Amino acid sequence: MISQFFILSPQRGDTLIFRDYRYDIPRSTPEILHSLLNPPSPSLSSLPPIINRDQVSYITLTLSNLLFVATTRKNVSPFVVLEFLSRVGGLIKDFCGGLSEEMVRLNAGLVYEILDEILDYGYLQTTSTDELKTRVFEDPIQTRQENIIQTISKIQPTLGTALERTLGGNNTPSSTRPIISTRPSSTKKESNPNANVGQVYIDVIERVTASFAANGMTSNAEITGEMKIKSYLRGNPEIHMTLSMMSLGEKIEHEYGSQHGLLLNNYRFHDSVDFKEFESARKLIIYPQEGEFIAMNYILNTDVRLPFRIFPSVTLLSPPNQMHIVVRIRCDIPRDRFSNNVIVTTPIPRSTRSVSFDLPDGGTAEHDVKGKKVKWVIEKITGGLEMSLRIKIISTKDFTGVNILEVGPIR
Amino acid sequence: MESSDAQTILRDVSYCFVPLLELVAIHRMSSEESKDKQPESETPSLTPEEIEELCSEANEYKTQGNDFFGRSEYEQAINMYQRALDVCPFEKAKERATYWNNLGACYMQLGKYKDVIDACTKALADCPTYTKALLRRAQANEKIGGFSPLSSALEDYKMLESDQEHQNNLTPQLQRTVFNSIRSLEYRVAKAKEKETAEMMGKLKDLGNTILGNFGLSTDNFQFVQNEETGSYNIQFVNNPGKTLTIAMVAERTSFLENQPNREAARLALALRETSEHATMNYRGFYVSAKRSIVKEVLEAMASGLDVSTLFSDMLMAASTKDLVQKKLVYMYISTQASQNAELAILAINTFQKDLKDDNAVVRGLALRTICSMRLSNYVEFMVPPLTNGLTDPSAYVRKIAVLSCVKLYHIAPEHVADGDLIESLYKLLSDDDTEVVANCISALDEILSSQGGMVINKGIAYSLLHRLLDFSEWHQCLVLDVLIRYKPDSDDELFEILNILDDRLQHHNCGVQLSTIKLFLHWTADMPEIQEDIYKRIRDPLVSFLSTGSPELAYACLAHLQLLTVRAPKILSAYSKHFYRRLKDPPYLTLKKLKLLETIADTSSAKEIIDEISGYITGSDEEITLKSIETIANIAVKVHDVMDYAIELLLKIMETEIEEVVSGTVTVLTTILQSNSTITAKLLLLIPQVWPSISLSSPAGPAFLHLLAKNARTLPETPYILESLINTLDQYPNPSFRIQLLDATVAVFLERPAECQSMLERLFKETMRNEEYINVQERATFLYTLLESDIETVKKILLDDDGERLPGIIKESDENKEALFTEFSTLSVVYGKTSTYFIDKDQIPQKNKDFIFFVPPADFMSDVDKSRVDFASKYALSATTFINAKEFKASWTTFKESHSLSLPIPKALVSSINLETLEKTFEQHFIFTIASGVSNNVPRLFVYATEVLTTTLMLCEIKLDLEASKANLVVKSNEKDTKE
Repeated sequence: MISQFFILSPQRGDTLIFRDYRYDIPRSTPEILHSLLNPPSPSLSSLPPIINRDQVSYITLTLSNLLFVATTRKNVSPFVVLEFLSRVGGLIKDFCGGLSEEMVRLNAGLVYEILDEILDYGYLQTTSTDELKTRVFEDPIQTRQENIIQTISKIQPTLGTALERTLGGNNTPSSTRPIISTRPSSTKKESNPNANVGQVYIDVIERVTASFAANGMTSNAEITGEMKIKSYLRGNPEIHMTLSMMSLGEKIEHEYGSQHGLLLNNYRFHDSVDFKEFESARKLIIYPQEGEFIAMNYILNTDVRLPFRIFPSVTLLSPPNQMHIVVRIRCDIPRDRFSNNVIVTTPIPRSTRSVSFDLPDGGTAEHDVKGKKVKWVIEKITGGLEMSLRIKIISTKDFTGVNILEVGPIR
Repeated sequence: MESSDAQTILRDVSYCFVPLLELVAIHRMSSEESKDKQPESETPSLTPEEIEELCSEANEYKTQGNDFFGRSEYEQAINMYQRALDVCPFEKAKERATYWNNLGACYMQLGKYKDVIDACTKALADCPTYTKALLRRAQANEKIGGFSPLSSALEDYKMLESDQEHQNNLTPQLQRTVFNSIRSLEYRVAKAKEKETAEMMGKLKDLGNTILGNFGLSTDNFQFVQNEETGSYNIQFVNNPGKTLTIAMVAERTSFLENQPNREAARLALALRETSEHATMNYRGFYVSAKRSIVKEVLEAMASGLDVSTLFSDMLMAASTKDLVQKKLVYMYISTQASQNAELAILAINTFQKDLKDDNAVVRGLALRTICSMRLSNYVEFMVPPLTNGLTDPSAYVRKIAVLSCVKLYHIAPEHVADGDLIESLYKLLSDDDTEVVANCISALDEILSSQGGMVINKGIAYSLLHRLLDFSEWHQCLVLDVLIRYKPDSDDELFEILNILDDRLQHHNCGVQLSTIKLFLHWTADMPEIQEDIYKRIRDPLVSFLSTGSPELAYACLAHLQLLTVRAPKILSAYSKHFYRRLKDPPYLTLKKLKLLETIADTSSAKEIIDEISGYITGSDEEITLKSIETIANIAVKVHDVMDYAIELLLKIMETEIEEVVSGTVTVLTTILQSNSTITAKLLLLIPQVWPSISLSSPAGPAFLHLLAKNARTLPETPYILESLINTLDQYPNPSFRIQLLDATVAVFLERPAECQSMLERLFKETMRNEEYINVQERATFLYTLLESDIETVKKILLDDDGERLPGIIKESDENKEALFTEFSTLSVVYGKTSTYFIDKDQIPQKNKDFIFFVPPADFMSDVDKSRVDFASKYALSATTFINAKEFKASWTTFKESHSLSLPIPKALVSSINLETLEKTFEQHFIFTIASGVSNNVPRLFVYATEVLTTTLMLCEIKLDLEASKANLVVKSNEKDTKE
């Protein structure tokens, strides 16, 4: 049960939206929360997302740089409330066409209308876009920057060829790196009489988390992926989708591998997905509701083939205040594909005075003085290639062996 | 530009304004003088016959016109009326007035208000007592808005009100309208006047600025001063550049800011009144009212905290509209503001009652929801009838709103709900066709009956809910699952049947549903330890997977729950440590939570790896994480003795980085460890001379460091020198408690090494005695000095023996509290780590079922063998973190000497119920871990091991169950010579 819902703009502390459902909590909660978030004197403790002050619980969720907050006096399930808050964000996105401070400001009336329907006296009513559409009448106002999605007449089945990836990696014993790859998977449409009045977007987003041992071997790797479907189809037609080997490469094998891996059954489907035939024929039947939803989540953590490998090496030079770091990256994807916009970040010691780079294979490097790191951007790397970055660091202090600890993790 | 020059120019410019002001005056006069004059035309005389003839012709046109008007064809109607006027002779003034009036009515419909006014004025010229025309002219003027039309309207209304003849012509309803209009117009006229004047002045200023801008000046230098008596405006130039001018401007600015909210409210009020309620159809077929945007502004103002309560009556007017969006917005406003405008709220009732009978279910629902949200106990009589109707409304939407409105009513006027009728109908609605209605019924009943322990769940209700569970929306599934907790299945079979039905909910995409299911599982199987273990395993995977797929906030809640799980099942996560390593984008709060969990799950097999991982966090930029990481490493080292040396090596190594917070943190924790393990003191001491300048002495590390120095004065040659430099820079450490510690430390070192310390101790004493700022410090110094003079032994005793009580210890959390948390699984309690009594008002907590015991002691199916183990375990605490593999076990088994062999009887009744798996699980709960089990020669055998926390004794045990003789034969071996019995 939620007493109040509000959206804060965390920087300036403006309350963009405020809706009181039960009137059992003072109206000043947004101000209280804002002062907690920005304490007058910077203190050590970082504020967790769920806090309790004066018997009032604040449950916060940051979405698109906006703070969605629900307050309550009851002992509610944090999972339900957090899920709800993220769903509100999704609804605003669906109805207004985007989620940003400007969007919310412009469409305040619409947002209030939505809020009115999804909660009554603090009790959750519905968050289904389909259902809300029959009761919400306000028209969205687009911001100037937003491109109104053009209607295209037909869905073109496209085979994923382009591969966009952001990369991170690591040397010393620990680290993480996210890879986001987006590629349209092929969709086959059947039994849709209105094929040319709607469109469907299917995004497969995978995030790879891996740690490398110092010698470049993978010590731990995990892929979490989700299939997002954004549907503008009228009349809720079925979508039949077959995840074939062709369109998803080796990935699908891994997916099956996951069943025998450490984490069992780690894929979840949205309610609207009929996955009876998934085990046998890799076939999904989706009854898409309008708007965006995540049709499938999965995790695979056995036998992950990583698209990149990183080999770092650190040497101390003869003048004791100098250090040499070499980061090599190898792109382990098929030769006919390439990755765009690969970013490698290398933290450097705090005592660094000056940094010089050598980029024998291209890309651009940048020294972030404040963040104490070197950012290396590679615009395009073709499969099978190797690139390297040499960093020479001159420090104010002499380096001893321990300073190597400060180098890394490379991301 | 020279300042004298500037003054001259300013003076010149102020002259320029005189003509401008005159201009304003003229404009104002002309706008007030807008009374139109009626040109009288010459009329040729006609015979009475002709007049009659023309008149009937005109009348015919009029009838046609009326027809057109009736069909809303206003253009045609206008045409007809004009013809009628053309024909109708001037003698028939009364008829002509009617035609003019009708013409006016047409223009009114077309929104041509200027023409309406013309027509009505002509009608009134023909017939001055024509009430309808007068009223119409006033209404038209009112629509046009602005100062002069409004004042004309006011005049007309006043005429209508004062003249008895007009009053007689008006219906009572119209009389009331006139009365109301006059009241509101008086206000609006005043406002319009103010606004127009302000606009005029603004234009004037703009004009002035274009001229003055060239001289780098602005008209802000000039002030408009209203003459109190005449109301006219003068422009005054603040002819004194510099201070006075600035002050004047600042004063103006502040008053402007103070008035801002009021002005904003007034502006909105004005806008609300002036905008017409003219709704047009938009492309989606919905009405869009012109007022909508203003209503929206009001709500925005409300959201930003502005006081908009004064707009209540104006907003009410905007509620009766075809525009649904506007209606919704206004209703939202009403429900928020009604409590502050209790007496005005009565005006809203009419609108509500009309809307409650609307054909559109959305409108009905909306009205019902709003009327019950007003929180005004006086209006309960208006709420109850629509509420009762709403519960049986054909639309599910209205029904579900009506159900929740019962709760609202309950909070306003409990007596209306408590009498039973409503509750009965709510129970009936539990079998409603629509699941949303059912779900709301559950919520409503639960809240209304919370003082009696919530809604009653009997078998019938439970089953009907279970069978329809899949029809419920995801949120309502959570709700249903949560109330089902109160249902107690009759038998195990029934329980398992239900669990099977619910099993697939554990894979639901909504984590709320998953967690509610988990909670239900845990609760129902609370007294079946053998199943619980499986359930822990079952719920582990979803929780762990949220860490990587969910948002950081969700991951935070998950970690709290996993932390709780480790209390019950300590080993459940031991193989999962990698999942809790920090991720790239983790916010600090998440990393801190992960560190805590890693500390809990570290055992002999994973401790080293975890320490390696955590050591990577230390050099990060977040100070809190750095400190916490160091602390976590130390805690793991204390907990898992195997890695103690490794951890200390590592901590010593990171001290060499000489980063302030790293060194400080490390010194603090190392000093703590040193108390329990003194072998590595030497290593630490070796480092001290090198790194002590990086220790932040004002942090907790200060005392720890001084204590370290004092204790090791003999072994560490540099001690006196370090202290000396501290004393020399005493001014930098104003903290009194630090100074006291410094005193103690110096005296302690002096006792060990008098020769080196004498001079600096003297200096320190002098310094502290002289400084009278800190009395405590002075007192301590006097005390020590006197003691040193008289009784050195006592000083030694005081300073060197009071070990460590001041030091920050490693606090072990009590698990008792956590057991209680299991009853509140999947709630905020777990996240806060406190039971709900700590953070929720007493009166808000629903009374709990008295027979609600969650964690029951070992159930009676356990054999005596187990019970003896239990006693054993409680007497000699066993370590939860032991882990040895089969190989080690085998090797130990052959080397360790046999310490005991005994045979315990098993009660006959239990023989049949014993199986190896349940035994294993029971053992594990008491930290006795099974390495192998099986049946050989028809004898079930178990090999188990355990470690004692205190002595770290590893004990191995072979259990043979002789079922026929109802005996358990135990062989215990250990690596220590005399094992406890």
